[in-house]
Amino acid sequence: MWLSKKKLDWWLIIPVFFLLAWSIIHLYTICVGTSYYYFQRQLIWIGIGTFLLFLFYILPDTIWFKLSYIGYIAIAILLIAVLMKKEAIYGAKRWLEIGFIRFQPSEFAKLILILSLARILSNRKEIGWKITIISFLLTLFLSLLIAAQPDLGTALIFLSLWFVLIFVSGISLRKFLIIIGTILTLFPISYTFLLPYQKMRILTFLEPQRDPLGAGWSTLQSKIALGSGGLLGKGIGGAAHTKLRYLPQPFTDFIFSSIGEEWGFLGVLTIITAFIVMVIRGIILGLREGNSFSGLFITGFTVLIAIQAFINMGMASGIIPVTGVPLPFVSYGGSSIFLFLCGVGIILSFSKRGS
Amino acid sequence: MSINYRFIEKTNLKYERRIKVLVGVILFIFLVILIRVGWLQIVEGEKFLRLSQTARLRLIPLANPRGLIVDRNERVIADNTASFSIGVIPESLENPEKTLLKLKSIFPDIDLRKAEVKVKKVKNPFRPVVLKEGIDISKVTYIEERGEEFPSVVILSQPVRSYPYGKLLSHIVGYLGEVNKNELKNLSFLGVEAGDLVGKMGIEEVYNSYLQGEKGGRQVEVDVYGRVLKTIFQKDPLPGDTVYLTIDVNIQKIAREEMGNRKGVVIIANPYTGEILSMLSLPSFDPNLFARGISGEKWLELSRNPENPLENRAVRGEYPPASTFKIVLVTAALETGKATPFTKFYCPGYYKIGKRIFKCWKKEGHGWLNLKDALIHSCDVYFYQLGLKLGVKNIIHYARLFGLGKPTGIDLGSEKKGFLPTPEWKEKLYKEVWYPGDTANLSIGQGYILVTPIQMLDLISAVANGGYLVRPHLVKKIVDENGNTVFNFTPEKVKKIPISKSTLEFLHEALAGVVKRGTGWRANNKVVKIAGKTGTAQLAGDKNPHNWFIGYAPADNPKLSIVVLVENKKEEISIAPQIAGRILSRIFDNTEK
Repeated sequence: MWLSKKKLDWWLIIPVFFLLAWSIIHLYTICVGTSYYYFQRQLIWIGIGTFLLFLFYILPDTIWFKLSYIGYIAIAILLIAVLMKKEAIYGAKRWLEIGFIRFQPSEFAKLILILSLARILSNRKEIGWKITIISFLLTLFLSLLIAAQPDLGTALIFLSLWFVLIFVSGISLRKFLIIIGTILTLFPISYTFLLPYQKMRILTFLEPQRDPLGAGWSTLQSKIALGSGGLLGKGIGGAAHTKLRYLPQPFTDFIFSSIGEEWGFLGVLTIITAFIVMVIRGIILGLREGNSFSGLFITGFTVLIAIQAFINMGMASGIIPVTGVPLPFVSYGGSSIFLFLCGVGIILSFSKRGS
Repeated sequence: MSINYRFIEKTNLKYERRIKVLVGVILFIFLVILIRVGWLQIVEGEKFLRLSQTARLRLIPLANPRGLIVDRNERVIADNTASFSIGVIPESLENPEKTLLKLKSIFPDIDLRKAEVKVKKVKNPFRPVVLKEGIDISKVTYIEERGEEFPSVVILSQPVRSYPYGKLLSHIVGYLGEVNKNELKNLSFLGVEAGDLVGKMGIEEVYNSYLQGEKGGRQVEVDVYGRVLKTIFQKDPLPGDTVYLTIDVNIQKIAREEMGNRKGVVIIANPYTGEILSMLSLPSFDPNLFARGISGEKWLELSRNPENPLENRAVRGEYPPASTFKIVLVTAALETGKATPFTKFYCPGYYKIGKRIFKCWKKEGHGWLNLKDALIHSCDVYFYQLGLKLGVKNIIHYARLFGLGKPTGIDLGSEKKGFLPTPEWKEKLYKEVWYPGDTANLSIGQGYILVTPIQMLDLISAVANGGYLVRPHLVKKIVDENGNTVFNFTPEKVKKIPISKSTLEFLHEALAGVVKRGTGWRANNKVVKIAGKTGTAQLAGDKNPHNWFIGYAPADNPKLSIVVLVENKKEEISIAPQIAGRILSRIFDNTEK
């Protein structure tokens, strides 16, 4: 009975499932002739993720407020556990195994961080320095744990989430400008703390000819794959640059480039349109809730989708340095798919009251 | 409550404004992405499409086998075999430490630290990093059978030159080395590129253009690991031609065995055609060392070795001819009429010119001698007097007629030409006149004169064949892959030396006498009659003398001419005729059976 009252928000649901469909179909076409491993696994992740989406949708929306700080402590422990591990994959420690489940706690930390920030920043007429600093320290702690993995890209996403949320929750412009000033001063200083490979990526990004076979290789191959798609693409299965494996990580980090190669500018346009629809709808839903806990969460999570989409596509088209940030709903990977579908589930559960 | 409500109103207005800013920023960044991708795909699309295709298309050079070098009985002297090396592809190598450790257990001499640096600091992670070259075929199969245990490990194979006879024929076949800039200019029309191997010495160098062949190529579509997916165009490689040498490996082996551990030269040839059956220069080197690229250490060891193993003494060693030069004096004396076979001089064991005393090798002297006995016993005092009677000009004139002082034209690179002194030369260089003593020294082949062993072969061959200077050569013919002869050496007689039949007959008798009862008696053997002349070259300083024997056999019907030169062996005086005798007797013993 109560289920029927809770209407689904189709403006949000449709672009989400549109992108998920893209993901599956595209993984299928680039798997043809080889192994369907990635396609099959992604299908499973999306299945489980969809289940979680509807589960979170029907759960009472009050539990998220209660769970936010507990979740913060739990995720901090998990992130520390990741750092204690001995072996590294591609030189980084990002994964954690519990039983037979293997996942990246840093993905779920994004959700937890948004919940925690939404809780601390919500329903305040004024954001004072105290709240600003507490919320910043909460963010910084998780960021540092993730930066130590090392995963600088995700750590920077955390800091940007805080930056955006503190802005929308109503910090005074004077304080906000002081924060921007501080960030701009700290930027060059923090560069010296970067690891050599991270510096290399930034330098390569600034000057791609610097090392065309090393760090510049990924960016160059990605641009070639994307650019060679042209207006209409090379057609299904025709993405030679992807299929011959010149494009690195075509299932995860550079899936956007391989879509661009196969489907051309038209394919890219539909993906960007889907993101725009989704993000605008998310923000409208957030606006409806005001600067309440739910409103800030919806806005924060929508911003996360936008940031990740921007970083991933910017990296694929060579306007942002290479960082391993997946494209929401599209890139292969269980942790990323779960995170975004859970987030959308929470948004939907918050928004069912309003309508 | 109403206040509270207004407060919410106010903050919500602010909230709305902020959200609008946020939406603006988000729409702006999506627009940036859209424009950027549109630029890449629509404006620059063509360029990237071309780049994508060129990245996938690769020209794989198809190595062509280098031409074989075979001896006169078609025994292969220079061959091609495959050499394997092992490498890893860094891009797909998930656990470098483990893989390297595993490879080290099979190839203990892999330096783990260096290998790790090599793998990690690689520029193109998709190109294999070679860890060890020249690995065993058994280890190749071991690794190939256990492919799954060695992910990202690749085995690369490349053709490599091999010389089955190693040191035996090193100076004849020569060796290969990476092409240098100068050679590249001359060879580029054959498709030779930087990094290719070309002949650097001997037959490999001189006949490089025949042996090289032409590389083929295949334009293919490859994936990023270099796996070939499709051939688009192919040009077949053209193998090099087969070079047939005049060398007989069996005779070379005999010569090598008889020389033992001595330094020196043996050349054996057909006196009529100039075909060289054996050419040995000792010490020698192993040309296989160069086939896979010689290490710097080994190269220094060879090139700085004071005994010069890289030098082919047969064509590049310059020595005083010593008493072997007396053949030239006899010819000059008889041809100019300055002496007859009956001209006699007395040898008391020394000869005085002005205040200087010139000794005979036989202290007690030879007494009265005619021309023939003087040659047979190699009496120095007789030849001092004969030389003075002839004069330096006549001696040098006949030396030139026998081909001394200029290269023989043998088909080996960088031949030396020896040296014939003249009074003009001496005046110019030393500001000193030519003394009669210089003529006396020249008359016994000492002093300033220098000859190469191959020149002496030419000289003795001319005596054996009736006065013809023939060009010595090592290549009989060259045959291409279809069996067509592309080069055939036609024996050419460079020129007839103006020697009368009677002079030749006199020489034949005298040279046979040298072996029968003179200084060359050690060449005597039961199998074949040998004619020839010995020589003991005195060297400046305190060095031990070199020992010569030049001759031919059989004495009455010459089939082979021979030069033996043994360097610096005092304890073995007259070893050269002994070695020549043993070599020739073994050859003729074999041919008669």
